[in-house]
Amino acid sequence: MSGIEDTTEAWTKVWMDAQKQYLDTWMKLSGGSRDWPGAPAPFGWGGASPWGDPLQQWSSLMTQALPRDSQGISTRLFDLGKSYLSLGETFWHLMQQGKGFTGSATDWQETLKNSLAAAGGLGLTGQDHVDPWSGMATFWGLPLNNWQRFACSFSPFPGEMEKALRPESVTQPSEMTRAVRQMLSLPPVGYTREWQEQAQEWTQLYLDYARTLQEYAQLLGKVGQRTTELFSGKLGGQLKKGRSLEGLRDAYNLWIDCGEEAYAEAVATPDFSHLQAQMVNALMRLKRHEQEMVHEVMTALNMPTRQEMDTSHKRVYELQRRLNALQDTVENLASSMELAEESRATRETPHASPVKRKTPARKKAAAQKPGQPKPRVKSKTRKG
Amino acid sequence: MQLPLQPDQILKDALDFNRKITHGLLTLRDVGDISVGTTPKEAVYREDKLVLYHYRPTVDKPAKTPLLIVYALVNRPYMTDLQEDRSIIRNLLDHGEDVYLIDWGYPDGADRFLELDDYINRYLHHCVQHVCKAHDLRRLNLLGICQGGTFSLCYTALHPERVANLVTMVTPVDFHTPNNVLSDWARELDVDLLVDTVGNMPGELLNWSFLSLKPFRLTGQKYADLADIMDDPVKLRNFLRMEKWIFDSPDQAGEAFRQFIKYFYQQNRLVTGGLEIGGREVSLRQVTAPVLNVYATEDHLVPPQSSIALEKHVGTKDYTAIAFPGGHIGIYVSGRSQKEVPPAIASWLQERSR
Repeated sequence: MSGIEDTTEAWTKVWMDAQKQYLDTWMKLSGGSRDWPGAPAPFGWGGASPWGDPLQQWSSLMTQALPRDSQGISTRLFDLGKSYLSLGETFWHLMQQGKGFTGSATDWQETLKNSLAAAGGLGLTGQDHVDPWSGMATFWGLPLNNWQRFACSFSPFPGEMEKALRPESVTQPSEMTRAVRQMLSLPPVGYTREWQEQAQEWTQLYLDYARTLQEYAQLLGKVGQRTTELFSGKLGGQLKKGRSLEGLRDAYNLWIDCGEEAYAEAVATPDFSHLQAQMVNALMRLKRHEQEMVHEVMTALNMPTRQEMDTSHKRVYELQRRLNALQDTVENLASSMELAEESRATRETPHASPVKRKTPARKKAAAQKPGQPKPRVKSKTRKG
Repeated sequence: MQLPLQPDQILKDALDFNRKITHGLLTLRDVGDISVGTTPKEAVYREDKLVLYHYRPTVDKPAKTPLLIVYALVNRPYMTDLQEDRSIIRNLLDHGEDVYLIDWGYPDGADRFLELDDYINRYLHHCVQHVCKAHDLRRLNLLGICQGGTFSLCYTALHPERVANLVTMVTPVDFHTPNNVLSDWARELDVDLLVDTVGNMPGELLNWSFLSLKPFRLTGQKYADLADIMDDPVKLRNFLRMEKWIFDSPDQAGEAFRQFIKYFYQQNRLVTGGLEIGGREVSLRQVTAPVLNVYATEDHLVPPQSSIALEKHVGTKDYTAIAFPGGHIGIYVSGRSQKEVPPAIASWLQERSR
């Protein structure tokens, strides 16, 4: 099968026409106008993804109009939408090319597998599948994409900085990385040498983190390859049995099943746990060093620091613990004194009736509403 | 050769998906903010950020021994009372229980040094004391959920005189059983470095761990399914409630998190021994009160084997296990769990109250 590119123009035209019709109808229904500031043109978009770009702009406009509780979900929904439609686009190309296919189901399975591999897996159309970062907006990029979002929100440095180091390969560092490492080997000199040392150490820690992140990405890249294999196999298996998919959602669900299966295989290995822990640990070492640098700067500026806050919090906490312990002691003493007082009162007035202590009322079965279903869950009881 | 899917069908489905999302956004715009926790309750005790709630009984004569629910520090306890028709608490009330619930609150920097000792021997103990005093009792019933179940086991071992009956729900006990992915991930984590660096454990990082267990389903497919229900305001609200809960992740007090990861996930001390909280040894053999252990057979967060292990280690002679056919979340909110789990718990408690 040749040339996924051959059908790109056809796909774009068909999709654009459909989108145009749909958007026109939607605009009329919602009473909106296409002429709002910064609005995307509803057709004639360029770029690799005719669906994704306008959807993104559209979603950013719509999201602002939503209630606060719904804004996060609309973002996640649109992220999914881009992946889903990207899958649809890739699948459409493959099926268009398969229209004239005259071989057997086995041949088709092999062709499909090769086509998917050439495309780098579903959703990776036209990208370099050797680069583990190329699928970050797609299905098998999800775990790493989630981590990136977390790590970026956790660092004062922009995500773009990490991207600059992505060309680094574990076995073949990039020119940039080699240059940085050479620079790091220069001895710090002069009045600011201590600060230079700090900066060099920070850079070293950053490169270490970038390396672990790269290793993690490569491991997830294997999940992508395995997903493609599983998908081709399962789809081929269905074809051999004379079954087809009911629609795009079926294809998507099958892809998700294969993704989870491939991912489960990967996470069950010691390598995965090791690499993931190394990645988190590396980020923490970097963050720790950043904190120390910031602490020095803040101290020089005579500003309060996190370290000082922690010291204060710890002192308050320890005081609170001591206070609680004292309170418990006082309460215990008070109880002892009360008991002693009762005992003394009983001894001094032998004919007086003893102090009544409240006892719990006899337990009764709690009221139950009529007609409530009896539990059907499976249970096992051990009674000694 | 038959194609697995026709190109025209793909285009039709893609357009249909587009239509669902765009129309769904209009519904999303109109649903408003999402409310949770509908059952009437009253705050009866506060300490630092903790709030103890008492739910208004729904039967004339509720059980004499109240039931205190101890939820996990992870996520928020309103999962037990998510909405009117998905509420373990409401069901327990309707089955005659007198229910209290601990809300641990949202720890901030000032809570960083709280330890497990504070959560178990101080906060939880004070709640137990408060409830017992209010009912003029020496003992109450405990229902511990997930990590709250582990806390409840520790509490019962340390204060056996205070617990009449113990119910544990989807509770991790043996942290080193096979297929415990979270435990595998935690083994090589440098938790000292982590806590020394971040102080309190960010809720986002925990969430990332949970979502990473099934990333394709939890961050992808779930939203494809959402597209199918977006034109139904009731179903959409239900989805949004659950979504709100999933992403409502409090930070974890740093020292308590450090101890929990080390003692439980890394060293598995609850079953191998050597666990000390507040300077006192915690042994499951000290748990002699009747125990009901409810676990979910499809639990991806707390593998069933991790919960089932309780039977081997607990000291009680009255042990019952219930296997619920569902997952970690489904056991709180699924229609089946609403019909089966709270009645089973109430029935088990009432049998032991006679």
